[in-house]
Amino acid sequence: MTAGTNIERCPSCGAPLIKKLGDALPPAGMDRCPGCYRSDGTPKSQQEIVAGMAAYLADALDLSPSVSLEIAAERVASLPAWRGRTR
Amino acid sequence: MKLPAAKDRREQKVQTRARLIATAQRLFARRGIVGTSTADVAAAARVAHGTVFVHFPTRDDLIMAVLEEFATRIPARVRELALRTEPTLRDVLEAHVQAISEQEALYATLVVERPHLPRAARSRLVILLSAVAYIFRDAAQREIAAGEIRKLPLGLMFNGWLGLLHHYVCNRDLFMEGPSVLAERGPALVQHFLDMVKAP
Repeated sequence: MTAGTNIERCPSCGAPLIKKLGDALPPAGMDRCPGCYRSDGTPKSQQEIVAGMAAYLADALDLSPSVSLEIAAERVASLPAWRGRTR
Repeated sequence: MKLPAAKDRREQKVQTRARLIATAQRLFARRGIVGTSTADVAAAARVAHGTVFVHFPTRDDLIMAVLEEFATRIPARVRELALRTEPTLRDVLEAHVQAISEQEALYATLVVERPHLPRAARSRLVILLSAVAYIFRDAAQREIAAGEIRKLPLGLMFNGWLGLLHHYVCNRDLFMEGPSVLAERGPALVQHFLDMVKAP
């Protein structure tokens, strides 16, 4: 591992938790990044996280919607917050 | 002979796992993933073949461990190398070139062999690209807003950059004189891409 590259990741969506993305740092008492909470403060469901990641993948890499959804579902299921759970 | 303490055994296990991953990375870069067996990795790491399976129950698990390390490191290095809080698109492209050039042969192998890799590995590579795309589009959006570069769809713009970069990396034998095509051609690729997206 190269020095300085061991960045913490959100256990729910995998987003890097670094100071550069100041608003991505979980506030005290929260176990996920702010992007993983609804506007009312409750944590998003696994389906919502997958849908958000799929939309990002489709836009950022111009992937087809079905491929984006498949990859997002696989990725989210592998993250600590969701590993071993069924949707 | 004194038996090693449990802590020593744990440390040794961690070291063996790290050595297997590093050895596999080296062999994958040289021979390709498809062309490297677990027996090859064991022999090169100087451990019994069975030791590989103590750490990685299947060959796919070993491939994923190599890929996980690699796919975490590349975007992290891009962030680290881009340095500024709000890097320019040039900063990001130069950082991307530098990060890949540090493991150019392995990167080329992963891109070329992606269709033949296990499904989880194929997906992990896409996530790697999406992490770099996040940094790329952040810079591109600022420069579009400032009127410095053309207002192009960001997904296509990033794929355009990847197309250029991957062509040179995956066919590097056609372009390089020394050990790294990106060391030789990287600056020209960055400049060419910036010229293409520059606002009229």
